[in-house]
Parts: sequence; structure tokens; C-alpha cells
Amino acid sequence: MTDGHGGDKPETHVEVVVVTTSGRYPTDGTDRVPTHQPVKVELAKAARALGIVDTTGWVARVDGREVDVEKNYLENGLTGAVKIDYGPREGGGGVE
Amino acid sequence: MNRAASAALFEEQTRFLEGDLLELRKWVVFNRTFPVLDVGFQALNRTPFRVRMHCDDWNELPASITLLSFTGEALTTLPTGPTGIFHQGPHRGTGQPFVCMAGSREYHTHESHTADVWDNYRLRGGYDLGGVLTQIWNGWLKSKP
Repeated sequence: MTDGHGGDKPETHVEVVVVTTSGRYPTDGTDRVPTHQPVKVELAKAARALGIVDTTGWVARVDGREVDVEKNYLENGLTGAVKIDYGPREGGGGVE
Repeated sequence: MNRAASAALFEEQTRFLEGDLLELRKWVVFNRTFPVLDVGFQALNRTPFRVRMHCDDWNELPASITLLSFTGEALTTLPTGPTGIFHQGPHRGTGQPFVCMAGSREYHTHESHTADVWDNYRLRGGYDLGGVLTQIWNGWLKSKP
């Protein structure tokens, strides 16, 4: 993917979708996001839009791989179209 | 809880189990008719698995969860692995293996956890129906294949 000006310039944006069991953000299409933006920023926007009140301990995956939400897209090796699967980790089991 | 209110909440919390989500997670929805949510999990090199959530009186009560083979037979042994959410049982109330995790009715009624009441969780993020299902899925992904 290019920045729309052709040539071999590094990508400056990614096209992001966040998918959860409470819905998809954005509802249609994708959000164009700077590649240097931490992943958590888009996740927070998605949570707000989808009415998710608490995402403590949630995990974000792309193509089955967990991503570091504190890091940006480039640091996570993500380019082009990025579909993020976002949801709670399993709770702890407990019976002895 | 009023049955109509429970059914409405069930609908609200399960209506997004479609499209991108099912494709990404390789989930199959077998049934989504109140009060039953029945979803199968698949993943490369793993034995497929199926979770049937009985959501009567949701969310006054947590869902009662039955674990099945992908073709619908009740499992007599559950996956093992590091998470500890799958308990071989038998559960005193059901006589079956069960999900030993907050959000499962069998957890909250197990003698080891009756003090850990559902009211502590029911309004928290990750404990709606999709959230509990996702938690079980994540536990399944970490279990032995």
C-alpha cells in the first residue's frame, strides 16, 4: 500500500477495523490511522463507540497473533489493512 | 428476572455474532435462540469444540454452560492446559465436567466458589454473553490441542 502519491515511500497510514462481540468499529469500512499511533488509541475509540465500559485485561490479536497495544502499528509489524480482534482473556480457573 | 427483559438482553448481547467476528475467530453459531447460545470453535490443528450456554434468567443468573464435541455430544473429558478453566468434574449439580471460571453458573455454584458471587461480575466488561464466550475461547486456544 502507498500513501496515495505513488512511488516507494513508506506507508504513513493503515486501514484499521476493530472487531469485538459487541460490534465492529467503524461500523462500515475502515478507519485510516497513522502508522506511528499506538494501537491502544484506536482500541479506546472502538470501546467508547461500542459502549464497552471496561477493557482491563483484554487482548488484541491480528491474524491470530497478539499485538502490543502500547506500541504503534509499525512496531507491531502491521501495515496495510489491519483487522484487530479484541476481547477479554480467559478468567482464572480455580477449583482445587 | 423478567423473561422478556432477559430475552431482550440476550438479543442485544449476541446480535453481533456474525460477519467479520465469526470469520476471524472461525466460530460457527449453531443456535442463537433465547435462552440458548450454541457456538462452535475451530482452529488449525486443534480438535473443534462447542460451547452451549443456557441463558435462562440472564443476567440475574450467569449462563449454565455445557461443553460439547463439534457434532453435539456432551464431553466427558475436557481439554487440559495451563489456564485451569476446564474442570473434569463431576460438578455436584450437573454430574458433568464444567467451566471453572467466573461467569459460568457451575463455577458460582461450586462449593469452592459460592462466596465469589456473580453479582461481583455481571456488570463488568468481559462478562456479557459475548465476553464470557470469548474468555472460554481464549482458554480453549491455550489448552492442549
